[in-house]
Amino acid sequence: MTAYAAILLALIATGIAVVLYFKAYQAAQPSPSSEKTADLFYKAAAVALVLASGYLLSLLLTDNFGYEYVFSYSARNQAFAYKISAFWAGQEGSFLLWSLFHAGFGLMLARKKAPAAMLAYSALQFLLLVVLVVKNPFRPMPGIQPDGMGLNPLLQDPWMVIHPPIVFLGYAALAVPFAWAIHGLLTGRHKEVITQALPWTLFAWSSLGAGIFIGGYWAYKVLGWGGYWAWDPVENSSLVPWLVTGALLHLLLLARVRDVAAKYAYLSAIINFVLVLYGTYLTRSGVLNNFSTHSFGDEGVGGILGNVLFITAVGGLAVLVRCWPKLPTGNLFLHFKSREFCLCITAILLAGISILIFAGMSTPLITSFAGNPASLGQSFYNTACLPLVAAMVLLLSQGSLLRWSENPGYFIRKYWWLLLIAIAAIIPALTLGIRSPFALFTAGAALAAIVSTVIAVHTKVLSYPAGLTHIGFSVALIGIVFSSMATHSVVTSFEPDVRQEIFGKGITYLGKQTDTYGNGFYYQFILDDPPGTQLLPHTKQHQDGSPAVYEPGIYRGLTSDIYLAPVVSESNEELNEIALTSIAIKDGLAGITVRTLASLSKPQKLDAEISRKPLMSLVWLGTILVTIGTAWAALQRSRCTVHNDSPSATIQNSIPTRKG
Amino acid sequence: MTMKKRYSFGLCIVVSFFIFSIVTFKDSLAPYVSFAEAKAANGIVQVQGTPTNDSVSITSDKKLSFRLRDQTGEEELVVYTGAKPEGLEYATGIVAIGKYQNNQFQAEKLLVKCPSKYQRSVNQE
Repeated sequence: MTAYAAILLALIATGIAVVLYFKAYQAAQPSPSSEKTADLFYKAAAVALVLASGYLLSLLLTDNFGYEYVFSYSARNQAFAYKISAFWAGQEGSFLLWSLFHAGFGLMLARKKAPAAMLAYSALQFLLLVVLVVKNPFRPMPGIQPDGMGLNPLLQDPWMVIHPPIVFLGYAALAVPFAWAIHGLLTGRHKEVITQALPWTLFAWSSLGAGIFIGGYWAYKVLGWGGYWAWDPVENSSLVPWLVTGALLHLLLLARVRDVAAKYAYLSAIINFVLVLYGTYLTRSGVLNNFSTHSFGDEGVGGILGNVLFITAVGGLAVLVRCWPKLPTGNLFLHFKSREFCLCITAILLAGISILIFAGMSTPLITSFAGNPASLGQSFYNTACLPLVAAMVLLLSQGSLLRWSENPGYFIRKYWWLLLIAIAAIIPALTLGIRSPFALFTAGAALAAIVSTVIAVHTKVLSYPAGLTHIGFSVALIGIVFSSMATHSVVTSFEPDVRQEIFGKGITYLGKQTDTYGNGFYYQFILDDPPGTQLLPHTKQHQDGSPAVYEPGIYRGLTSDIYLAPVVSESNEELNEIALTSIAIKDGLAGITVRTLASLSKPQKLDAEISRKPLMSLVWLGTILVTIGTAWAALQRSRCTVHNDSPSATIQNSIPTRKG
Repeated sequence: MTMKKRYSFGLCIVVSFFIFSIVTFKDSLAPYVSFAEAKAANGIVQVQGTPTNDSVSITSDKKLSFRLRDQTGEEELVVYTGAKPEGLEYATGIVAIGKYQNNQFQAEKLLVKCPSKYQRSVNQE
């Protein structure tokens, strides 16, 4: 009850802070007393949230099953890391974590003494806390519970420890550009907003990106999640804000030299956070229950989330519409052959891809309202996004070399040889059987983009972090094109100890082994080359021995991955020996517990699907480079906001002097 | 090119891409139907239903097959190529996405709703 009181206290303190920040914003003089009081209430709210979070963590670590949340997501014998992960395994805990991160970033924002920004930011926090008050993580569990249900075996994976927190870090960070956008709209101090919003945008881009990439890496090693990317609503609902953050970043960079871009940056910042809430609504309200393999079931939070989404969208857009006439006007760019033009097109292309994915992920919802529910096949996303992605890499291969303002006319003639490099990527793609013209084009342009980015960084046209991010993006795209379009699969029967040659690799099935650490078993395969390489498709089991998670055996090679997924039928499993583990007689009824002893069963024939996925390594390498690049840029830009407070000086520094 | 020509060129690209995406969208749309409707449909559809007990098996050509009862009560054989999605045997509901061909529903994708997935176990008791 005390912990719930802390959440209520946080809600009330945040509410008071909202009112006081509004007073401070209206006050004529800078740093009015109401701002100081507001800061105090805001800090109190943050402390209350820290206490509530600490309490939930302690309940989880001390196995206090008197609470429904602990009972539902933890168990006595659960590993320490998963007891911690249980914090964000359910809706209540993940909203608490999100609010905690939000409050933490708010404390940093409060130091900037920008009441209008804090007004917007604490209003968002108030809405998040309303959700948390409704979805109370501290509901008591009726009766005495000796043990909890435990974390879903599907989520008992090391990635569960970091994947959700990193995504929520990104979501929380995206509220900061939203708040700065409102600040810019209300005060007209655009230069300040751009300098302050840039590092947060980059940080949000980096952490949300890292979260998405980790999610993809995780999904790749679980069967039934459709590979590293399946265009599932849960995946899309974080991808869309990530893409819009990319657009926002490029608009902010443009706004440093072309004032008019600020208004489009504000538009993206506001829409972006609304999209975060929309994604949360889609995946957590249960509206997509029949469309998604990942989304949460309905837990009675749909209504409140819908309201939060509605209020944020209406509030944010109302401020934008009201202030729109006062915003700077002018041309976004003066010359086509300029960096300004490229930044514009980048933002437009990213927005275009976002709109397509948004339309796709909203289709189930919209068609349900229309009375004839329908979902959208993956083919839509792949086919419709590819031309835009192709256009983006083409831009990347040319635009990276462009400086601010006008560039000399001989530009194309100077870099014609990039075309030859593009062909160097297209030829292997053709030999592997890729025929889609857009895909071939993307692969070619991406290779050219890597080379042109290296030149751009070398000639100091592009900064190191930007260069690294662009290279990472291109590397990942090459990996995505090859691995998604040139994957070959076969289904084969394996006799134990009989070697088979598949995709030029000798593969031998050795048999089934029990998992010594967890509940489950492995099928053991070995590869000839490299000698001694094992492929261990893994089946994790529930406590009662029923299968919970299937994981493939993966050999991660530099040029291609070998991905082995057993095709297991019921009849195969039934031949396993069983062992009696306990007999309990209660009220004259005998309860017998048995457990399958997989390790004792004789090796049998096993059917498995084997795929060769070329250049998967590039997908992961690219995503790592993007994450490092964006995080590095965020760090660099955050130094700018501290050491260089004069906006005009920052602008001057950002424009590289043209070489003659 | 003059400025005006460049803008018209850009507009043409945008419009043609817009038409392209609408066409792609229509092609990829998979409505929820019953088996009766699936038999008559041309494109990809999805059928929601519950699997019949113990009907999950592997066919001779290594495809996964099971019988699915749709919401009108009609039962049909569903065949799926690829690894078995987790929890298929325990599924409380399945959405099969694909086409009805050769007297069976050929699924490209299966969505499996198991009792435990992401949902708290308390609610199901």
